Amino acid sequence: MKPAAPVAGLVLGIESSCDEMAAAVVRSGREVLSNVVASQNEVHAPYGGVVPELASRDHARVVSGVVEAALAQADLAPEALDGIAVTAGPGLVGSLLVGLSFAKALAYRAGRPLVAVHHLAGHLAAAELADETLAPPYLGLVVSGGHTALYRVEAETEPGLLGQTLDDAVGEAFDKVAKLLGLGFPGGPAVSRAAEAGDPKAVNFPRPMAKKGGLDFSYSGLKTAVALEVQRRGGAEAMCQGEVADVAASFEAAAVESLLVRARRALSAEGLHRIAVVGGVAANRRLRAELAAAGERDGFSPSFPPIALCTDNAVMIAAAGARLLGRGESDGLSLGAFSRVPVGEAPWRGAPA
Amino acid sequence: MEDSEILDQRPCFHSPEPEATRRYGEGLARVWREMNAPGPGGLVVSLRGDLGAGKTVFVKGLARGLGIDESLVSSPTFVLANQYASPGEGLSLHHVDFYRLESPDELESMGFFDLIAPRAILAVEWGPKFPGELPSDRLELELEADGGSRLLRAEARGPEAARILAGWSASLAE
Repeated sequence: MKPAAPVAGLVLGIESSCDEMAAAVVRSGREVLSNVVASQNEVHAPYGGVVPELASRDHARVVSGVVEAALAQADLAPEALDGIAVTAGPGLVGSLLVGLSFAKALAYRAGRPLVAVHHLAGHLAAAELADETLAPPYLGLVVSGGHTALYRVEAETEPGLLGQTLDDAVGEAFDKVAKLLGLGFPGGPAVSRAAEAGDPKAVNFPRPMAKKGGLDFSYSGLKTAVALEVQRRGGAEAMCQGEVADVAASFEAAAVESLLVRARRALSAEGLHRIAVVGGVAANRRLRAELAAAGERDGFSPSFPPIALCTDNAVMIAAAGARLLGRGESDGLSLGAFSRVPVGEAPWRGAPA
Repeated sequence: MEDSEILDQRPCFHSPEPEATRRYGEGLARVWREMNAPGPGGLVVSLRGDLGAGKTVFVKGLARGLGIDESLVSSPTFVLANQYASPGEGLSLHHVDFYRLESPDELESMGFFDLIAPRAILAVEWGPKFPGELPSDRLELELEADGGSRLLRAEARGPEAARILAGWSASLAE
């Protein structure tokens, strides 16, 4: 067995790429000492929807408290850290800047090194953190509200992009179908719950890009097909419970099948036998069951991190940062935020202040 | 032409398929680029239309017209805003989606007002959600699904948008 790559000791991770403001401390890239997430969803859920006053994405208001809580739960002063890791992209620039500016100030004050982490590289690091048997090379499938992509993950280099969505992300399709069907928020779990009682073969929705080869995804056409089907049945208000369940189940079957087809195609093309599924949609039960069944047939083994590590969190940023720091990488205080970044690229290195 | 006449223009365009919607977007971006050279001011396009009407498809066309790889353009619903730079000319495309926003107060914290910039096209999906927050000089575009095809209704609000819309309509008539 190869010796393990060097990994930094105590690393604070800060994540603020979209709705969640999160901070966490991880030891040696594996042991979670603290994990704090201020989530928009948690705030919304008890009200059955988004509450305007609470939905400001006002990360600036909570960043200090979230980071302090993460350090306090780990019982550490900032000076005791071996480094600070922060998400620099991709994401909403305004949100990213809050975490980034705070991380810079803290790194400067404590005199500790700072390292920028790619949000999706963080998601993939979460998979290895949760499953000790998972080691590169393996296939990474990132499925969330904002991303749908396949990566080849290697030990020594950044993940290589194999394919991604050309329009909507799969999690976004779930959210929008939930809205079309008048189901709850967040949309993914709501559609899956409704689908349990439905017939996945009731409506033969188009399999996105079924006829095309390659490893890219597309969910815009499927979303449009569901919109037309709901319209044909007179709108969500006119549909009975059984119809809603059937449309939900048929949509979920089509959405999951297209993930499955490309995952299997990528495993075979890349000669890989392990796949890690990360991101919010990794919680989907149909996806888990079908991937496990396909694995038994084809001889590959899927890995799903626990749900808490599937949604945006800072543990994954700390874990990915520990590896970068261990490799001797660090970034200056002129680090900038980026809205769109292919994995493997790091435009923030050498970015103007 | 009097300003009032220009402002009265409300052309309709028919799109039989997504590629046609894309070409309309491409044409608009080209016209904006050409009419504004060498120092373009920003163009704001507010997009309205149901889920699946083709708003993001239209924006892919805008990207193409600015020389940006359209396959990079994906839905901004989750991340709220995406920014793309055109190679060479220093032009950019800012693609925003109000779909997930519930209050105009959120616009400030998501950095929306920084995206209204010269040398940039700002395309706002679900723009009519907060009409008061959009620049008064803008192009309003509605996409309506009619089975498989789409009807695009364009309307200029303000003189600069009217000038661009007139140029766009003329280019389509050619």
